[in-house]
Amino acid sequence: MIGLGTVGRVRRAGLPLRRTYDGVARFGEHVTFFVHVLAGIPFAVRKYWRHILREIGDVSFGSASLLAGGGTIGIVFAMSGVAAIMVGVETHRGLELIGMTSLSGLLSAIANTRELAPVVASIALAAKVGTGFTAKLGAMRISDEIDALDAMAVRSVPFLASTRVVAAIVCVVPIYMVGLLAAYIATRFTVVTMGGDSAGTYDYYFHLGLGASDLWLSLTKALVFATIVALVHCSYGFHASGGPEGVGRAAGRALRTSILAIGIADVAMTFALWGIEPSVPGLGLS
Amino acid sequence: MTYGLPAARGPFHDLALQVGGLVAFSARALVAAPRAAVRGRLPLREAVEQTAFLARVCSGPALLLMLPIGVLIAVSVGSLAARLGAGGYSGAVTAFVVVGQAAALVCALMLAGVGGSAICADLGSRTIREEIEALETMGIDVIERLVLPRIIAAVVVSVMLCALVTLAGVLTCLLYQVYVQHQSSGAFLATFAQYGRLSDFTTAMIKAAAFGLTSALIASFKGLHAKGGPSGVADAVNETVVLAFVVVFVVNTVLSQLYSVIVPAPGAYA
Repeated sequence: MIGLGTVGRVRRAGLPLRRTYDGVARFGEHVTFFVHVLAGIPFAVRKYWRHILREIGDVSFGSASLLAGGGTIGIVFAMSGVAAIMVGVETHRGLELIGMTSLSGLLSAIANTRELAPVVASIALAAKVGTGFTAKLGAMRISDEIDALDAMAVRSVPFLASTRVVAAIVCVVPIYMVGLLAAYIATRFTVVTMGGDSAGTYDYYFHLGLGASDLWLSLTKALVFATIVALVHCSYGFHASGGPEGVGRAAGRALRTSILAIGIADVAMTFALWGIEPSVPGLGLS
Repeated sequence: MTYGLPAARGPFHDLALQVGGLVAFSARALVAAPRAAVRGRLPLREAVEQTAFLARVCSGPALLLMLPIGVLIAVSVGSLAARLGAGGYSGAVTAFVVVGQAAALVCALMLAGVGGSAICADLGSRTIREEIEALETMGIDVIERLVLPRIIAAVVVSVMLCALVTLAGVLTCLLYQVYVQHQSSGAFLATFAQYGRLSDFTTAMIKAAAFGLTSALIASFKGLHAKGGPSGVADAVNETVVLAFVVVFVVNTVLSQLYSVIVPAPGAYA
């Protein structure tokens, strides 16, 4: 005969195990959802293209009621510009050590294009658009609207999630370009106008460091990040539970996961695209 | 009093109302802090609970995020510096980038994103369930009881997390330089010690505290002003995250610029 105390102790000992098991199960749930969403994209493009167009409008300009006006494009412009000012300040400070401030333009071309612009654009996308996805889908989930869709035989995953993923992928291209432009302008402004360096030297090294292939690869990065962000945020919204507070918490968790995923994917893609020893064709470093 | 802003006429009026509301709310919260401390009414137990909660939610992701960023900095800065014949300086550059910028920004992303959305979701759901109004009716100061402990917790966690993340970032860079790029650890540490200064670290701490303060203020403001059911809370969380990210980036640049003006870089021109 086993006493109640023993049962409790066994349960408590099994708790970490059960948590791990739950974590793995939840991870599997998300991955399955990703596969369903990606598989539903052709269907969504064929059947729900009107919804995709509406989502594109929502994603790029945002609904009018939201604060921080100017929509996603404005936010990306502001965040990229501000981050690029920082790049200008820090590279100038770092290069001053070795007396090579003339290379600021080169570092601006490399750092802004390869790392900063895609990462900042996708973090801004995650904050503005992604949390919006989680909020919308989560609110629909807890007020049983998604179940209603399923009951009416509307395929909820392509209708709600695939359309949003397609919209995010389409929208990230102009958004990313605006961010990149803001980054270039801001760094040049910091180094040349405020730092007082020579504009000609800056431009010479900037064009030396900037290759067309870099821009394409950087755009690829932005597209991959946007896909990750849209998938993660839709998934957390779709699986939200626990009332209004649960939706809010799901938004936070989704943001954490997508920022982490962006960080890891960024390193992986930097290694994959430019090699462990980064190459700069313009300088003959390949 | 209850929390709410008058109806907006048009987007610009809305923007002005929100900014004014946020500034007024921040001023009230910051004035309430010393007053509560003087009267011995700081809700310490709640502050401790919130600190533990925020630390639990933010630390893991922040440390995990710092590892790839550390590697990235070591790769792009270190190996480029080595190509230019300045490999010995990679320690100093890492010190600048990790200690000065990356660590504080990672903290800010985590606190504004994860911590801020948790605070906003918590307060927002209490607002739409009218718990906040009930507290006010019973004569309990919501700012003192609910907002202050969250602000304290956010600042404490942000500062501690920044120190931890800095250590993780510098260690990652060092290990990468030594084991992957096969450079000497002595040169790394020598330049790191030579050019990294205490004031860099202190500034990072000040920055982290400022980030914690702003994200907690924004999250509490948006949470207490949530309205309109579940989707209202979700919208409030969305706006919190966007606003907090933008404000944190701007604050970071302003503080960095101020720092580089006040404390000139060491080296040839010092």
